[in-house]
Amino acid sequence: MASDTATKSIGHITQVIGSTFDVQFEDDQLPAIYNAVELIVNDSTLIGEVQQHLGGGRVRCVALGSTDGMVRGQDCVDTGSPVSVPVGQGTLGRVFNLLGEPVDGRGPVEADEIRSIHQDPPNITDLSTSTELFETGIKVIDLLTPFVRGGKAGLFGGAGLGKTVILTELIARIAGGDGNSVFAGVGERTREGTDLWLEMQATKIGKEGASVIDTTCMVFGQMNEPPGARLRVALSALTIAEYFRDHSEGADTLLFIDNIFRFSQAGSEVSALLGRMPSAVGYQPTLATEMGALQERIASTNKGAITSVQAVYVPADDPTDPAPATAFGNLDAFLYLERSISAKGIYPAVDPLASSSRILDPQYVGDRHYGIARNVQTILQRYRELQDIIAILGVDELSEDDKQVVHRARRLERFLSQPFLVAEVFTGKSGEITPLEDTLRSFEEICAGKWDHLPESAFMYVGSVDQAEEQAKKIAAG
Amino acid sequence: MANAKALDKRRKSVRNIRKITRTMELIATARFKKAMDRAVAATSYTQRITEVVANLANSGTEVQHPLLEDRQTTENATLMVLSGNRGLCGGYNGSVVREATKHHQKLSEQYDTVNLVVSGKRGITNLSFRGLAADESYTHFEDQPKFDEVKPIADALMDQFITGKLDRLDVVYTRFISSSKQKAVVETLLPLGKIDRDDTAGGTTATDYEFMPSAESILEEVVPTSFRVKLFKCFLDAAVSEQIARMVAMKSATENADEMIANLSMTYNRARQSQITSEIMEIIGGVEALKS
Repeated sequence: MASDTATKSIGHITQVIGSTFDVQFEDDQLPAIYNAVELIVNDSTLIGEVQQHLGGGRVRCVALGSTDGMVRGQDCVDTGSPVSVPVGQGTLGRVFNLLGEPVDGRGPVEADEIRSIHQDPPNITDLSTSTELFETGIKVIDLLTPFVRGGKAGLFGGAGLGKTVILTELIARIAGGDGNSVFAGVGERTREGTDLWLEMQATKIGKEGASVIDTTCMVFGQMNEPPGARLRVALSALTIAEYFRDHSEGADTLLFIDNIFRFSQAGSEVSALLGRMPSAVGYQPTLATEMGALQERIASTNKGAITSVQAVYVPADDPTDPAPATAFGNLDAFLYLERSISAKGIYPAVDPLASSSRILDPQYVGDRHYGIARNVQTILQRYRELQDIIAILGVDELSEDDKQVVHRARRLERFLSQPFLVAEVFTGKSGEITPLEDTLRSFEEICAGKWDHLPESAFMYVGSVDQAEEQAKKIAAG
Repeated sequence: MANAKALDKRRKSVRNIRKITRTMELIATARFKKAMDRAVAATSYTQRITEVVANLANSGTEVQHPLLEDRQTTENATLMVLSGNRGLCGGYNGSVVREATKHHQKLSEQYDTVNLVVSGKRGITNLSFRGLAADESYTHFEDQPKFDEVKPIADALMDQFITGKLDRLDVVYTRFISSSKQKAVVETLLPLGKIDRDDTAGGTTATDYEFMPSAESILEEVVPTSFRVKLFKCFLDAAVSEQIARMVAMKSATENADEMIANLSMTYNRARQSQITSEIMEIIGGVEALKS
């Protein structure tokens, strides 16, 4: 944006449609696609991004701010470069909007570099190929959908199933390590962003009273922003994360995105205004391209790793909707949150049968882990198959083997719940970080029937199975 | 929204289940009436003969019969379990088996060997799953047990008792109390005197009997008959309880299936509707986009 004024070409607004507008430039002075154009609206600067060349010197731009007060004939300046954001150590502890402007009221940012938000994904020769399990201390995740270090994990779920809660929980558990974290708030409630920001300031990590926020950078483009902003905010955050990856010297960079569906949604809003023909379910025809361009950049290279956790809203609880379906293909691990499980009061409401991970494979997690996970899934799968019969004929009609399956499945189902660090205020229970070894042992023993004698309620909201035993004693004692 | 085709398929299978449960309900209702008539007819006879034997047993010391004597030996006990051959009757088999397992454990503590006699396929498989293999089993008793079929079993047991190979016989079965109440119970049938004294304690006072031609000859006839009848009554009770249990279970299963069909239909219709709506919207959207 800081190019020389003399070389800047100036155009005039010819049309404004919602959050897109057309600008007429001289035929030989057209701004390149993705260049930022600048104009003054209501005494403040509005940035637009060139999306289409319409012919005859006209370009169509997407506004990255509100178009209120825009007038036809107004001057519009080509900045000569795409939207760029500050990157580097100076961004840590700060909150930005998509243009890289700090919005936390703490003065200017000392950036190492200003980078364009449009970058190419890493070359295939630079990609890292190591596959390592990333332990979270959450039983259901570690057992059934192990995260990959330097990989991408998705949290799929309909409205109000606790996607944001799981995401914040993961931030509380894994952020604040050696590496830096970047949080992108895309089209979600502004209040949630503020909550998270305040919480991060309050949460201390090990050394010398440092807060989580000191190693975190936050970028917000929430619900109140126009679609152009929501479409680009993920890229801004990603650009900052990429810089950390390339300069972190081996430490993991974490990228949290809440919520990637809003990115697709914003793209669909913009797409209609740009005059593209709607495709399946009214989404933009370029849905997969946009998602791919974003997701491919979230990659681990030889220089460093980006581990990313993304929340994905599932409209109307329908996972076949094109937006979540497109996001799905790009992920290494995915958790599907299920309404019927949350209705039973089991949180995290992860559906153990619909969720999976690329590395849940004996090659990566080992035969024991794989065997236990499959065993748990088999039992739960059988229970689900029997559910219709139980609903009609009652549990007494089952064979003895099936009765035992149901008995254990009901315990396993409850044991998949876990008290969260961030939910301590709500549950009154302190959060549990269960080491992978404890998780494996607990599930192995439950599947083998060692804990058949404990009541079902003993398995709710505990860490390892030993705590279930304690809880059973407490229940028995009244 | 779930796949409309899958929902329809599921609804079809629930409908098929409903057909079966509905038919079984009707059959059970018909069988229950017959079984109940037989059970009620047998009840008064059994009661009367039990009373007679009880009175005889209490009337005087000179009355002695091997089936009536209270034994102190605790070597051999037999546990007879009466269950159904078929499932789909709610908790009927389950509660009998549960009661039997519990009682078997108790008997094992008191007696050296416990012989397990099981009637009904369900009971045989369920008990063997719990590690209790039947030493003897019958599967030929259906909804109308015949006295001629029960008699040889009763006679064999009596022989064992008289010759001292058996010290106690307990029967686990579902007692028919009323058409709305049946309960899995344990009843001690041998020695016969054992429960009779409890039952009549403080009840009917001893009646004076005159025995013609002699007390022995009458007891020789009456006591074994009483045992046979009592055992037969257990079989009758079990049969009628099974039919009631099946009737009730199938009735509620049919109702559950109805409810499920209604829910599935609603979800199916909704899924179908939304599919149509989105298709129409796509077509219209395409047309509109082409116009401009």
